[in-house]
Amino acid sequence: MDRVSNLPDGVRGHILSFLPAKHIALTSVLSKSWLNLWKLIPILDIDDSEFLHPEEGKAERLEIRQSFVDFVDRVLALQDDSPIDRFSLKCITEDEDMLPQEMFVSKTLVKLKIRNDRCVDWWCGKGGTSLPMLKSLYIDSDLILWGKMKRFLSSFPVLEELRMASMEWKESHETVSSASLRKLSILGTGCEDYVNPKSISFDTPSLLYLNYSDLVAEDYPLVNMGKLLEARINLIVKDDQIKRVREPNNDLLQDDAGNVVLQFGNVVKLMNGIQNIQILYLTADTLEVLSLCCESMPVFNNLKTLGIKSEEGRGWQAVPALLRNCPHLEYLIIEGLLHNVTDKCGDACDCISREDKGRSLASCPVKKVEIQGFRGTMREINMIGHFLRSFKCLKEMGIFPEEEGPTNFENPGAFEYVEKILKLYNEISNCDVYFLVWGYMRRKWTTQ
Amino acid sequence: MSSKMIVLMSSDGQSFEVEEAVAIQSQTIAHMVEDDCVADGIPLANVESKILVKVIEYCKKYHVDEANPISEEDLNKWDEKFMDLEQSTIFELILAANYLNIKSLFDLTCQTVADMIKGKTPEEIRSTFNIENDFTPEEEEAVRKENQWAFE
Repeated sequence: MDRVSNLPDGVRGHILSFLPAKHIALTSVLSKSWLNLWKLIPILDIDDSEFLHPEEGKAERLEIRQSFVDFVDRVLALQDDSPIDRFSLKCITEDEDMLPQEMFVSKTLVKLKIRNDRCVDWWCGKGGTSLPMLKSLYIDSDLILWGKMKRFLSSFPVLEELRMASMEWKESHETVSSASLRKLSILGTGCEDYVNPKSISFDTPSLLYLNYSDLVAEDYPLVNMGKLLEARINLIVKDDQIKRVREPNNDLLQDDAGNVVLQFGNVVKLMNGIQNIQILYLTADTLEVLSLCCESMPVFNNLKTLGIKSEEGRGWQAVPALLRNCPHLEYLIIEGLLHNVTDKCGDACDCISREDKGRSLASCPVKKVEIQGFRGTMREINMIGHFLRSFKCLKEMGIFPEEEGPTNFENPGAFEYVEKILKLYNEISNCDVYFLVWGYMRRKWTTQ
Repeated sequence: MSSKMIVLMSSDGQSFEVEEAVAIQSQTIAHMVEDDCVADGIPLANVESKILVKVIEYCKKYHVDEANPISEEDLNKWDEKFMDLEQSTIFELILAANYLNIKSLFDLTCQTVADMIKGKTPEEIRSTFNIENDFTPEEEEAVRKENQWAFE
């Protein structure tokens, strides 16, 4: 006896909702009573990798792709009758494929995630985009095209989470404006042809979390995010700009970067806008850019956690000013100690001998320091010693070795030596110093 | 501390005494308790005793507290054994869970049936559930063509 077909529609629909789209579509052929059942399902999870793999070459067959595209079109067209709560679409498309129009006009869609390895072309057709209920939008692609940001965002009046990675600004003056946005993740590549934007403004008064990675803009005229709690900022400096960043007033430098880089001091406006923040992560490039506004750096009164990432090609010029301006810092995370030595990383590190060293550190109330990517070089060990002597309130220092790149530990005996020194530091300082090494690493570095 | 008991009556006239805290995992029963109409027992016209026994077994297991401290992992293993049932019983359970509005049991039973569908061709699905194919060959061909991508 066929018990399953006699179950109420809602129940059968619930059973189907546990299946991926392909299997749901299959049931349409079981019998007449199953023909239209799939249309009742409020959650749709479409992943074309199921039917494209393992048979390669399937995707290229036009009829298959067309029928898949039609299916998606039809699913989205059903919205008026049976609203879709959640829709996830993962598929491999050619450049010519555009997203179905219905995706941009839906009265009920709440969450949308789009991922395309090559390019996502947001349709801005005649009717424009209207997704009045959309709360979360995630777009991941090598290139996202959507027109002007202001118009784009105005289509989502209640949007709370937005992720765009990676994208290019259409105009050189752009504004991110949304009263409802709480989480924003922008991974950008400047304007067309990898050019620095002229100005980027943020009018996002409800924003709590920001992940902003992009070429440095020449100006940040408006930064309205007073409620921001946490930010990760990566202001990318192009290779042909770094010299000018370090010597902004050097007239002898012959480069094209001049005019643009001289504006980078406006980054201070971005810093001013986020000065109420509690958790801040800055990359090596960002630190270089901040060196242009050390004197005007705002005070981060609420900052408890600061993370900085270092690279050997980038300097710590901004670190003393940063530390001085965080009067309530508790936790400092340093990913990579080695950095480009200048005479401006001043008293933060021990690289250049100076008399007044350590002052920005001495007044810093940080209680816990975490050092990641430790390579076991003498320079790093000296820096660690310098921190231990200078941070007056330090209670705990955790050191984690570099797991992937080259380290000094490959030299025979180096690991044991470093471990001994760190143990010594632990004994002679008031602070708890520990060096955490995975078993496999220890074995790798001690069997020489 | 003595716990409050309520009486559930199956469609075939059998009575089952159950702790109130266990029974109100069913939203339907929970509402009746709120509306205070449980004094003479709760008649469940749509659930026969054979199924009600299983429902009560499920609810007891899922009533996690100090007396019954069970981990999610163990619950998952228990679910597997619990759902080792004849097809007809599974469908009865689905209907009971739906009627009694016990979300986790409803999801579990539906997931079990979904797992029976997944990975099978339409012919295999029909065979598993005894579904009669009432399409004409032309009609079936048309349906397959419409969702061609799913059938390849």
